[in-house]
Amino acid sequence: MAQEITTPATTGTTLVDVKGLKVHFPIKGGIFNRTVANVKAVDGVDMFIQRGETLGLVGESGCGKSTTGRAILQLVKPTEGSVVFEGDELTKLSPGALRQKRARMQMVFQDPFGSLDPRFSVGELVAEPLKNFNRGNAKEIEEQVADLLRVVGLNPFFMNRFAHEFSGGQRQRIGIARALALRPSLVVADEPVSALDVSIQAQVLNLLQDLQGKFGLTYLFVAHNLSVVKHISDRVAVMYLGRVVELSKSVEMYEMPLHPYTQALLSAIPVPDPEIESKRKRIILEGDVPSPVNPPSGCNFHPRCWKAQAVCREVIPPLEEKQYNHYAACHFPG
Amino acid sequence: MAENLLEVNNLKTYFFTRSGVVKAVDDVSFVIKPSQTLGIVGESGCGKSVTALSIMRLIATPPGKIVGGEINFNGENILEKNLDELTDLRGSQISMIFQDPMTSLNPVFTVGYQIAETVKRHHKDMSNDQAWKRSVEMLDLVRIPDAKKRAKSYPHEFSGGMRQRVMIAIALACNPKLLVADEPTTALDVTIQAQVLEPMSGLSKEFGTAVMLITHDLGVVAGTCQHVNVMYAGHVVESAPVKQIFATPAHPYTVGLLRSIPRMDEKHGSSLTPIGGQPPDLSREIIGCPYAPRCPKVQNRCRQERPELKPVGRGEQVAACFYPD
Repeated sequence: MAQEITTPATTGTTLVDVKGLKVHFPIKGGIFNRTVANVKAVDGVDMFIQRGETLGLVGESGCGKSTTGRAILQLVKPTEGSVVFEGDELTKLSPGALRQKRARMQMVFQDPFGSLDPRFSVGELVAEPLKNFNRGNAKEIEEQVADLLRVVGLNPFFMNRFAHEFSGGQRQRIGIARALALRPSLVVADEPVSALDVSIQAQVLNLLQDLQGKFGLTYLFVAHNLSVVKHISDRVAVMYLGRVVELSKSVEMYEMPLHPYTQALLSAIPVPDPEIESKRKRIILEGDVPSPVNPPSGCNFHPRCWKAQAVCREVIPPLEEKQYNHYAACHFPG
Repeated sequence: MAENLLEVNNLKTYFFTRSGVVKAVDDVSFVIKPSQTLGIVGESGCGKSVTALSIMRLIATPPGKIVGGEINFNGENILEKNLDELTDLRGSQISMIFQDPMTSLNPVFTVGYQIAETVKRHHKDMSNDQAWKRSVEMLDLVRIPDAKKRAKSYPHEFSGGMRQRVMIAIALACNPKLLVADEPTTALDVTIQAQVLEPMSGLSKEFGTAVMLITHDLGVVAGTCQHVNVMYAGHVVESAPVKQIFATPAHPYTVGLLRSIPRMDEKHGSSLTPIGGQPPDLSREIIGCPYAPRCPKVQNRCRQERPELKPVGRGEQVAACFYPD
């Protein structure tokens, strides 16, 4: 293909392979507290993450993107499906083996206010993972903590201060330092910048990109802001109601989306340019995202889709390679 | 007076807190013309919501207080009105939509009742039937499907986007001259945001309602506003027609803001230029330009003297900077 893009960091080997991942949360009810229904938060997700790349995972609230991120890290137990990380099937690992594996895969959380313990100093917060995995004596750990703080752009001088003394952007840096402490290969970042103001958001995004180069990290970047995801990602997966509906290189996705949902989603994003905005045509979707307790039959986007045919109501479209390295789950793509 | 619907002159709204006086809005002046959509952008804590609440006279006192300036609406100073006069004004002449659609509606009344309530408050001679008809009509206008039936539903039966559209219906039911919308779509997903913004700007055009749209999303501004005020640390630092703000931003803060947002239409691999540092603490005395500590073009003068809004020689564009671009 003419517009083949080679990102230097991508070596092409698969780091994470997710197949048929399902996470169902039971709804209990009745006098015997039996399971009366399931919230199908993640309902059959297939995807893979290559070593060294950033895979963006986008979708609207409630589509299961955060749950997918957590299920990959085994922070919620998948109901079904497999997650292979660095050659190991995570769903079948013993608790002890999984704990060791956790050093290789870390998470950056959305809320820099709620995710840091207010009673720990910054030094203690960053040292905690190092202590848990016995990475040296007190002095060595302190040196590592100072290094980590410097790496994320904080002055080690502030090591004895507490999280509440820092601004949102600085707290998010502390969260990133914690995630990097054990030198993981995979970092799942769940909406890492959505709580931050735009000027601070750019600082954190640039930091994440620098660190990726420096430490050879692989990111799963979960976010609802498609402009941010496009900026940082090599490839993008779009989720709708518990399933991945499209997966491709980010440039391709934004230039020629194949799935109608992706097309509507992209057209809804305002571009900060009045000239372009005045010329754009929006696809305005009717209605709201259906409930994941009782998702529609067949393709679960069909009630809102303007292309829907009889087959869409009956058959779930599989995620298939429609064009070279461009996957979509739609009967009538394009 | 007829030329400007709203004139805000030297508005100062301070909050008197235990840790000192927070000058949330400090000497802000701007105008809104009839049926104009004015965007107010800025980061959290820059004073955009406090400006809106000051116009509605909804500042909680104490700790907040409007300590100076005037707000002329249709030639009358809102700050001199008593509570009764204000109640007549709110909802009929000036309406407001809040950020959070989940908590702005009353959960124990049907949405139809809540729209009719507003209508009846301002049209005492209207019968219940007429008011109800008006609420169904309004729900239809904001594109709630099956409006007749849905008017009898309660807020919890609506999704976030629909509730925000109900808020718009309430706000526009009495044909106000000015609609103040404080981050109306921030809590919503993008596809739902489009469902809300479209009827809002469509209806305001149809009814000739002026809109003051507060947002931090520059994309939303580009799509809906005609004029933009950029606020920073309680001051308006730049004000210009929307095309000029994006094409030829004059204040270094506006330039920084535009460079730090990732864009959908950018080329792959382009990098962001963040603004270094943090916004200032408004409870401390700020000498000179509030943006000086973060400004790449800062000179000695900026640290000593506060720049006033001045034309930068491009039509209506004004910026508060000694060394504009």
